[in-house]
Amino acid sequence: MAAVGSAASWLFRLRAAGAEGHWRRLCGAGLARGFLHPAATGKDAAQRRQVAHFTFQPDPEPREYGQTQKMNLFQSITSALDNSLAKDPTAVIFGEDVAFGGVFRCTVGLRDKYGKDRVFNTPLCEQGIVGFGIGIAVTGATAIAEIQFADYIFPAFDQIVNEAAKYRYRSGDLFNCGSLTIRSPWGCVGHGALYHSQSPEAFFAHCPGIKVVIPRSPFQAKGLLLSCIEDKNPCIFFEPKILYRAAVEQVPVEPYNIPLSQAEVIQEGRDVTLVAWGTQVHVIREVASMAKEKLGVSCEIIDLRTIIPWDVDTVCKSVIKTGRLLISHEAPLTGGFASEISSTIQEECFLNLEAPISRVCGYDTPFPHIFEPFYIPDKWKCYDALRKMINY
Amino acid sequence: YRIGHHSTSDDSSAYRSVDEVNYWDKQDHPISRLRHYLLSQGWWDEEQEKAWRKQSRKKVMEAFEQAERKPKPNPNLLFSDVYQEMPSQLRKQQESLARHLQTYGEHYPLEHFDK
Repeated sequence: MAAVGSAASWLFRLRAAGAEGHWRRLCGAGLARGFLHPAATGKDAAQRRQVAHFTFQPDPEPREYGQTQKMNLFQSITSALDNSLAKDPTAVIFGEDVAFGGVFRCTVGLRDKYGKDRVFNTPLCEQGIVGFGIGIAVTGATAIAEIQFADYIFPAFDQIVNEAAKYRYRSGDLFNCGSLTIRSPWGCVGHGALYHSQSPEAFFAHCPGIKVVIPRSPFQAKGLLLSCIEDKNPCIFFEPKILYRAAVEQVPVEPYNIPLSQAEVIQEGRDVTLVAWGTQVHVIREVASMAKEKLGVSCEIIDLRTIIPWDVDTVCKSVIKTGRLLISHEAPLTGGFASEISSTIQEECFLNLEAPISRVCGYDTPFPHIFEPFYIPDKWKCYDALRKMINY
Repeated sequence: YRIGHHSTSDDSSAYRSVDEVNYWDKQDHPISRLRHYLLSQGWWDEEQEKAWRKQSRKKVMEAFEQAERKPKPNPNLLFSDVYQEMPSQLRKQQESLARHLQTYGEHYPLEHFDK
């Protein structure tokens, strides 16, 4: 009955609002809408505009880097790229659609500011984007490549694994492509489905020679991206696309660096260690509150930040203290990066463990479309796993 | 020629002129050209055009409405068709979701999905 009622009200709204507009939108000639906020029409909107599975928690305003400005994630990326191109005359940015500003607006204004020789489009060819980037980097110039969605990085996989990662090693350090950085939007976004939601960090974790970095916030993103660009090794920087507009905080205007391969303990605790990266950090933050409130459990929260080489010491130190570890990521469970962390921690901290290490991850399926709310490792699944671990 | 934007997330005026789009839409649209040809041959007229547009719109809107009323498939189907046969690990994950929903179902949009 409710379905019929709301269909009727949708039709009413349709007539009232102007059937022409709605019809045109259905015909695909409609106005632009953000990828991050899908088109809303009537009942469709009620179904689609589901509440996000996380709440972004901004960090307090940083004091040590000078003047700050309110920025969202894509603006903090633009700021980092702007700083880079300003101080490094060899730096160039390239990828699909970066010239007009990018599909997520990360490169807005940069072509106007620095010229078409420094910010330019490439053909629709990821293998070429990375191959070309390697070539630039080998000459010593700073190459900042964009892969439009992490889901599309696979055509470039051979270039990354067999060329970029091995360049220094195979030449006995005669040559390297260390000044290459690849940026790519990453992770679930509510409606991305199979090919706009993936978190492929585990594929790259298995590849010595590259670094993989994932920020949780605008302030982290700018500092980590600048470190990746300046790092003397090829880096992949995954940007949680769901945070591009949702995450807003005070970010320094001047350049600054956040070190790679250093995890951050963002909240100290005594009973359980929670480890995540990217968007999922905000999910486990909420889980920690829930645990405190409902179970009286004190959680230590770690943002891993760099996937490889990862900060084993920080995680070990925490688990030695708490005795319990829960790791969570959107990527599928089997072979996901939680399995590496779990394996290493049980090797290093076996006698400190009070319970088996818990992994709360995506299922071993492709990333689904309409089933996304059931697929993702949301706070309820994490909370439930934590509860079971406490009661082990 | 692609008259519409790339997707609902795209505003193509950022990379092509509105004049270019209008040219293809108003002057050189193949479907419009066919319609003019049919009109000029006396095989079609404005009355039929009007009636046909109205009928088509009605059909599409009704189909749309009908589809919107249908619930989405059961979440169990999240696990189907990964392989031809379901591996035992995956079946266990399917079962764990079912158990999870028994306890925490209120936090999921189950009312929009098939029971």
